[in-house]
Amino acid sequence: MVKRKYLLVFPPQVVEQPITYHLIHDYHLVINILKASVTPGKKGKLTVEVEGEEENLRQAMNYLASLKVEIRPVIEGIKWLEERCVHCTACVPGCPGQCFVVNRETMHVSFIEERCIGCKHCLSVCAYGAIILMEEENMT
Amino acid sequence: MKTIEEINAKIKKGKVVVVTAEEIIEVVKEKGVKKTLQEVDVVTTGTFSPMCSSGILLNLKPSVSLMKLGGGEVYLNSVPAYCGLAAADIYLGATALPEDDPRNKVYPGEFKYGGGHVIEELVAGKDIKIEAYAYGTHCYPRTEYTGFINIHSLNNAFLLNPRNVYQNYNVAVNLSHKVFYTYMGVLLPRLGNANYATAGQLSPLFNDPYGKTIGIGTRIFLGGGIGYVIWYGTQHRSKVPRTNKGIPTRPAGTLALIGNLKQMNSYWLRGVSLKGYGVSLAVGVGIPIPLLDEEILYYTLVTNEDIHMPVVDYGEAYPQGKEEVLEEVTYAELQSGEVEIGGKKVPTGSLSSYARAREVAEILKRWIKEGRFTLTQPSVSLEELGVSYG
Repeated sequence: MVKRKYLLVFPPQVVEQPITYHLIHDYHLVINILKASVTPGKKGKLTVEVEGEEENLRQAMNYLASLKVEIRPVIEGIKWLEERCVHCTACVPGCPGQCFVVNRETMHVSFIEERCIGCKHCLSVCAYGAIILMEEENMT
Repeated sequence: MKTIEEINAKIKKGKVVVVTAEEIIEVVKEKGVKKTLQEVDVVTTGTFSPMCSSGILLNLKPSVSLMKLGGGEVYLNSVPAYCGLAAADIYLGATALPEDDPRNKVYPGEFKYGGGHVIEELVAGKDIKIEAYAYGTHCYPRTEYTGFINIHSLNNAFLLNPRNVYQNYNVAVNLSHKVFYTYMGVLLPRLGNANYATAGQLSPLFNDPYGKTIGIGTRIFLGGGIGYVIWYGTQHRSKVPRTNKGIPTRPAGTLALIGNLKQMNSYWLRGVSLKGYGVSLAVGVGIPIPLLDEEILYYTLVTNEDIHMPVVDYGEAYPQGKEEVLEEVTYAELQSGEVEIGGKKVPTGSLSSYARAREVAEILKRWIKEGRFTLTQPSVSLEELGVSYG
């Protein structure tokens, strides 16, 4: 079993097709939709976490490619810079994945990356520059 | 009854007993008031929070000489400093922004770099680009200068903060239907979060709520170095509603502080970027409280449950100048991660670091125990100063 994150970009002509259904039904994948923007007649975007057998995943990718769906591995990600963090806890409320966890004894914050759905809310609330986008880090 | 002199004599002999503002609560539970008062000499407090009314006073000699900066212009890493002083003195405020920063023109602004960040970098020993423009005089003929300064090249560098260490402050919520970007952080609509500041039972002015031991000349931990209280801070209020234990339930006391920037470090002076609001500086401050008598000890026993903070709507009431208090919640409730406001469970976030406040109190405790830090008798206590200023 493997688990990966992808951004799927659908051309307008396939946006109305039940593609996610086929991924689940035909390829036995567990699909967790993290973010979606789907409007009939327009280009659609779906950020998904896909879990399944390697071979099934490979076939599913071929199926998507046959529909001209663009498959981009999600490499951009939120990174928590522990040495910049002052443990103020401003990032805790509003995070839909509840990624920032506070030890209420020590009042120290920690970041559970696996929970992150990439919504970027925390980027707006961290005043200390302790949360960055991975791609930003690559630039510097 | 004890005196500051007696405590300082014990510090010099290495016999002083110091505990933090958290530890004293447990000590008294175990030993009782009388025995604690005999045994413990000092309680240390701490806080680490954005404090916008902060800044640095620099004397640029010898780096920038033969130049009358008074009436001119100076930029440090493009951030403008105040030049209305003598030839070589400038003041850089924490909230100053580069002139080409877009501010909130594209809302909400990012405010990635400003005065607070220059201060952090200067303290960290980094080179800071300086651009200076003056009109030139017979005695100071130079009109332009571009170069680099760093903390070691400066004649004087003081941290000089007109208002720090707020005694109590609003808990900010947003009752409206859109996101609000405020100095209390990002406030989500329909009571999406409750943001607060201060260090609760560790906070200096909660442990001496009437300012009986703190005043002009009190030696303190400031930004990782040593500083002093110079006056009450701007917006200081002493005549405020209080609990029966004397704890203000509204924004109340503040302190003006000074210290030698050259001794400080960037772990305790951090530039802050508040989205849609601006730049600030987070400052670590710790104040020792000498346990001179039973009353002073009593106040240091304040717990997070004793601290009641006012909840204010920043979505509508605050921007209209109405500081209506929706209700009061305790610091203990806020620190648990969730408070109930108007029957709704609201997740909480702090702008101050309780973990760092605890570190300040521990460091100050160690300094005193090691004999590196002695206590001072304020020349005028905050209580005496504050009485006539409502």
